[in-house]
Amino acid sequence: MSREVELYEKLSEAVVEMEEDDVIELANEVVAEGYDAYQAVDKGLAQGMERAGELFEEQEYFVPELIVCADAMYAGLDILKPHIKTDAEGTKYTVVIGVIEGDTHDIGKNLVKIMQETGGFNVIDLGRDVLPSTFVDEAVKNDADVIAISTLMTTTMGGMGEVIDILNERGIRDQFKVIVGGGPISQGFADKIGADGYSTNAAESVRLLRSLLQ
Amino acid sequence: MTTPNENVRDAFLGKKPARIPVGVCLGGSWPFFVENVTLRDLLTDPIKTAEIFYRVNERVDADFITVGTGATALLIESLGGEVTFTDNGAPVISSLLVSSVSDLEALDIEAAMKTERMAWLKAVATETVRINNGHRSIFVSGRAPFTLASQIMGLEVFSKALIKNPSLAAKLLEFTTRLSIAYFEFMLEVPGIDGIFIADPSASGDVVSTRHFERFVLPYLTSVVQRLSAYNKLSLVHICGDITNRLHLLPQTGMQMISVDSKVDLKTAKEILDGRIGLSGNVNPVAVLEDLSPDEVYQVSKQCLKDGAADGGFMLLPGCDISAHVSEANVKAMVDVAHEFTHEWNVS
Repeated sequence: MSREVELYEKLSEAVVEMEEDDVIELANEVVAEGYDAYQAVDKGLAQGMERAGELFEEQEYFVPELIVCADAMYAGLDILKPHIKTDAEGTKYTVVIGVIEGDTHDIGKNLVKIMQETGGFNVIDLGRDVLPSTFVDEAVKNDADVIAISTLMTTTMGGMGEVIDILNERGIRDQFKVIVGGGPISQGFADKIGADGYSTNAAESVRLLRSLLQ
Repeated sequence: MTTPNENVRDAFLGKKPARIPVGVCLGGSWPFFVENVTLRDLLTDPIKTAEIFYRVNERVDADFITVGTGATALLIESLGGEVTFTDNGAPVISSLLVSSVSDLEALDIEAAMKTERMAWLKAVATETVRINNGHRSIFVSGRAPFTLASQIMGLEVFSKALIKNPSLAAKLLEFTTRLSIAYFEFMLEVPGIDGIFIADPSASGDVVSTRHFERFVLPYLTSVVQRLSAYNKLSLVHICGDITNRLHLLPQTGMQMISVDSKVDLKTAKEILDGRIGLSGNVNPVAVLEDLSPDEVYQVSKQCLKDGAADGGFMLLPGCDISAHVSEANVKAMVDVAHEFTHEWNVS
């Protein structure tokens, strides 16, 4: 195994093992030894995060583990990102994401954002307690491809349908894929409000985006 | 003819009640929605609050009524936290109180129990008990230590602490255990309260592993339940998510009944618990109560009863909080099937 591949594998492993200090050390070694930062992100950090996502789906990892893995990944990303050649990243789809109005629970949204960024999407985070009209305004302003709406509360789910109503009213529904998720959300609810997709968890949302944007 | 209160008590004691008891609200503001008022409108009027809450529960014939649902953020506000009131749900906590041990030391539980908000909660409970006159079962609703910790530190930061700084997590949980106990003891000063309802949504089986559940949820929840057992009240705990793989741990807390999410299979839960504690749940609040017709709600609820109620020790509840969009007709269908199911059960 070459030194370069060894470093990428170690980076991946350190993310999965939640070893932020090791990730920092390895990312610095990638830079110091002149290896490709983009490949280090793709084959190291992103692969580690993907594996963490798999462990999450398999219920080996839960929310705390996934968050600490993400912290380790971001620590490596901070070091590697300035060394990535801009043309190496290719075309990216843009997602605007947020938690619907009335709900301040953003942990699920944050996990989805992490997994989508890791999956190569450009994610614009609108935060929490976001008005339905703001989702639409920001999607238009940022020329987004996808609007991703999250809520943990049954009491605020209605706002998700309002986003789609506004898109229809403005005659721009076809310009965006709308995906929804969160604790109380189901495929049935997504179908009812006319969303394009629903995913049960953060890792699955990446596969959903890829299938919708094919 | 037994009263709803007696039926609830029998179910909690593992018996077969004459009529299977039903509750409607787990933690939310549904009675306010159907009466077209908000919690913010009612904060100056505990009498009206109790009247509305009781009236709606009476109209749908709920046997089990919780006081303090939809208002748990008020305890955090009383500690000094910022809360935002909304028109479409319970108030939400808009700032975090704690990021370090020193922040924790600045929080005063005793002072929190003396705020206007806490006085309002107690007055609502007092009036609800007065209106009820012993007929239905009145429970005080509050949060468990793990959920309180996530409310005052933020679930994301608290989750990190479980792995990166477990001693901070433990200190925070020791504090929220004291807070939870102080809250319930304060509310139990109201004469005539039948039980305590401890909600622990953040300890969801979808959020924390069994390992973390055993270390950071169970011991602190047990402390609260066991301390409050001295009051000789009924005790119900609700934990969100799929907790099937940790149900076997719950009887050791001393709780009398667990309320499970719709993700839990009632038959499996019943087998695991094996009568050591009661079981309640778990009509899906969205896919069933919100999305289906009253007839369909009736049928799904009936299946819950068949799965969970046969040997007694069961109360029918939604699997989690219900939203403003759930119709009163659907709630009534859920209540009706439980009350009718008893007849079939006695015949069989």
